[in-house]
Amino acid sequence: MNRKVLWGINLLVLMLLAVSITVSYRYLNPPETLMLSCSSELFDTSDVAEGAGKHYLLVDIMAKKQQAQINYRYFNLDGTLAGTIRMHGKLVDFDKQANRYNFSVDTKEESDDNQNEQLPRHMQYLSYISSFNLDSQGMHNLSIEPLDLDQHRDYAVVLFQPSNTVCGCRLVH
Amino acid sequence: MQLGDCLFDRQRGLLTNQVSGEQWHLPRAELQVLTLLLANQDKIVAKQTLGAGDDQYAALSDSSVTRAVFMLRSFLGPMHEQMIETVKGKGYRLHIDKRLSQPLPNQSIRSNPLRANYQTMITWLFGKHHRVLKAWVGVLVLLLCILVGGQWLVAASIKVHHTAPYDSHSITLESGQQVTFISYAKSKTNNTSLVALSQKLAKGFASCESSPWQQIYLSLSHDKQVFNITMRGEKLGQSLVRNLKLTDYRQQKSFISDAWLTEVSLCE
Repeated sequence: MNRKVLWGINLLVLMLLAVSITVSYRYLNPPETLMLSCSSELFDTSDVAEGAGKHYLLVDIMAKKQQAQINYRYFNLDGTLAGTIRMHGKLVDFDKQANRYNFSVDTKEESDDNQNEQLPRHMQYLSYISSFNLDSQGMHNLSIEPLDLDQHRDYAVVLFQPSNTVCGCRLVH
Repeated sequence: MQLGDCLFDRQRGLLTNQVSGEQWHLPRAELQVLTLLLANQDKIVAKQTLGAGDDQYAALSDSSVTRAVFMLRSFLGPMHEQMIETVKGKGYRLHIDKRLSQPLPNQSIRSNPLRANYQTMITWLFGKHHRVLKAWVGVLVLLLCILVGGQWLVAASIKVHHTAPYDSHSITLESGQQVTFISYAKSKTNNTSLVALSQKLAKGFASCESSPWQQIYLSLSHDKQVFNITMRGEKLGQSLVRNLKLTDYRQQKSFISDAWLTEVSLCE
């Protein structure tokens, strides 16, 4: 066989190996990106009046590279906005062994759109917990662990810590 | 006479590959062609000249000459086959590259069979020339292979430890469908209310003949103020998820009531 052909084959093998390293690295170390959209029905069980204490909550979680944003949007049953909580921070890491995304929230913006009505209890609760951590520690650490993840059907049941909250979310691509 | 990796013994008409040790007693055509090419090194020798007959032997046909050249090239091997060059329409030319035709150190090799084997292996692996470069390429390929293998090994060795549920139990509905209740708690202590809520919800489901929900994930916030219910299931082939979050700030908490169970329509 011609020597040039042999060298060509060698180079081809080298290139294939280099490509396989890149492919396998990307496959084994996928970019730490997480985008979830979770919708919940809220019930303040102490409110017994018809329709009282019922709200909807939409949570959008976006973590890309180091940036992380968690938006909580609260709605009244008629679709009007009841309030929002926007948290900004960073994705600290993805713990492969624990299968857990660790976030650190350093800023929070809240808006109260329910001028005449009481804020949803869940919002009051979340506002208190996050403020408590931000005021005392300067950051609000939280983690998200997918308990049940189906990429084909684009859903994930996740567990938020330290609040110990389970939530079913849609995976957003 | 050294021809690449081969030693040509003109007297005996023997061509020996010094790397593999293979010997070849040249037939008449190959011997005649090689002898004539050697006698006319770096000159073009016509096919007719190479196949010319004499008093003893008849002339060789053109195809016999072509075949002899082919056989000689095959024996010389891929690294040295180009020594016999085809000059289109004119004949063949033998060009011996002195750099490529250095005799192997036979004396020392023969005296040490282990070294001979080593030499044979090295020559088989890297040939006779540019060994250092080839060795570096080999090392590079090996390192790349180790890198790829290592990546997969590390990935395979990582065992994912999911948070274990505090409790899991199932009920069977009238239709035979199973509904599983999976509870998550922050601590293993003081979870009576979570267990009670799980049972109460199970009771609510038990009244359904069937339900689109198959897995019910439950959790009570760390301060027991929020009860979270996530229902997973399927309806008409569609994947479904529903989240219910109940907040109760009262000391005597009652997250779930019969009226609430009716209101949220668990069976639909």
